[in-house]
Amino acid sequence: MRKVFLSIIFFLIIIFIQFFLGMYLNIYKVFPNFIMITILYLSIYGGRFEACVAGFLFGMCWDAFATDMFGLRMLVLTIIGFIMPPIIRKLDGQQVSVQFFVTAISMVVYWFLLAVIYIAFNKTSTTVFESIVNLRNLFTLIETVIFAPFAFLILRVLDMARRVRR
Amino acid sequence: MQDKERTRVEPFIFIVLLFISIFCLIFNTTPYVRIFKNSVYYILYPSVSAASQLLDSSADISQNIKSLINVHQDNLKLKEINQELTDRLYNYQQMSAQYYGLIDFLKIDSIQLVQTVFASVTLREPSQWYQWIIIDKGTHSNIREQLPVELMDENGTLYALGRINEAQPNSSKVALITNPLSVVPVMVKDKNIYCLAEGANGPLLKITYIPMDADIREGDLLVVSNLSSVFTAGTPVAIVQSVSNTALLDSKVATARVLFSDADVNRVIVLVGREVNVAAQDKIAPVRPPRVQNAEAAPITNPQPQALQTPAAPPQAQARPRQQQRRRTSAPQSAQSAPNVQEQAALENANAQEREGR
Repeated sequence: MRKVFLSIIFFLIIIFIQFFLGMYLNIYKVFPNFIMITILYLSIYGGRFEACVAGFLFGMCWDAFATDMFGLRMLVLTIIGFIMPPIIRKLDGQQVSVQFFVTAISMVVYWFLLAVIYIAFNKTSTTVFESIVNLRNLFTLIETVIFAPFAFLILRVLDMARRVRR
Repeated sequence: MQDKERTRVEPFIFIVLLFISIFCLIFNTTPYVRIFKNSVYYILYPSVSAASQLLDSSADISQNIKSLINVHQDNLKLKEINQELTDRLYNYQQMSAQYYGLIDFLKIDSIQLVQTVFASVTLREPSQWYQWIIIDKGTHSNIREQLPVELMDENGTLYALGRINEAQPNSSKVALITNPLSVVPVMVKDKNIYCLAEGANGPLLKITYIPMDADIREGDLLVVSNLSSVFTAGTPVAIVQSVSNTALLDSKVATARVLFSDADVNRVIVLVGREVNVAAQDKIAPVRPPRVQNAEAAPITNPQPQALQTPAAPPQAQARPRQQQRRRTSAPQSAQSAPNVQEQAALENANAQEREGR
């Protein structure tokens, strides 16, 4: 029960940071993808189940705030939450270099899947290409990749502190 | 152990989540998915605009839910009403059983129930509409002679129009109360003044045998008295238009305007009595229409049924119709109070005279 309650609090904090603090903490309107970082953190230190469910729930919230197709990010983040944990385990995800790499790969997979689904649902490929491959997304990728190891560290420390207190 | 189980379950969980995601993606424009999206948005960011958005998107569904709730509430009310009516029906059946038990026990002869037959007027002479009309229902609809014919106003109140004079299988001839051969025993409503309303070949009725000291005024409503055997007591007949103070024997005369005009006589109601048992009407209050004939159609030689029918009527009121009947035996109009055959012959004679006069 306590674990569920803490998970909900954690979930809401991440949502708050991603969607409400983003407008204040951005650098030239670019802000790291905290949701992706959280899914990857759960992939490294949790398991496939946690990452998958987290991807689904975060994707659902993201879709609720977005104005395009509902279910788009839900699907993509669920897939990322399912495919990334085994890869991270094989590559020893606790190494910083691996974390950089995995984060970058995840972001690329995320946009790639977005583009595929957009095209599958009759969006013009030019518009998709322009909306996905652009400078802003590149900066987001770089920021997320740079920020990911720090975020993993902070989350790990908080998790350890919680376990020690228990 | 738990890890193994979780590893086994993970693909299924993934497939379920994937299925939900794809479902939302495919049906993202449908109202249900939109409501789901707006609900999630409202949970994460509860604001007025989010609530409004949620309500807008769920308009159809909420309308359906509202109608479901309304139907449910109506259903509950109808169930209550149904229960109440069932109780009443049960009470009625109990009372009815007791009633018929008592009738058998007391050896009372008859009672009549009333069935309404709606009929359309098929013939109405413009110049003589106040004499008779032909309706499109006859003996095939259980219509027989001497049945009351009434009109219904906008409030659903029935008022006197005439009586069946001649019944054919699919048509009937109705003699109106405005026919000069027609006499209806009436009383002034709420005043206990008994008199007779005679047809006067026009929209006015001649009110005779009004006691000299009677307080009858213009605008008083005349209703059928309990002396009538054709109409039910209390049926509205006419409104007093003028009262003459000229004494005629020991009574005075008035004129009254009937409650209908020629334009109203299009659809009429015939009150058909359904016989349940054979009864003596001096012991049971008659349900309309009573079977025993009175001043309108009683045989001249046998005024006795009137007295039987109205034991509570004032002696003065009972005596006058009899006097009138006696006086009319010499006149052609006396056939009004004769049996049907005589009356019909009289009506035909009157018509023939009228034609000759012209």
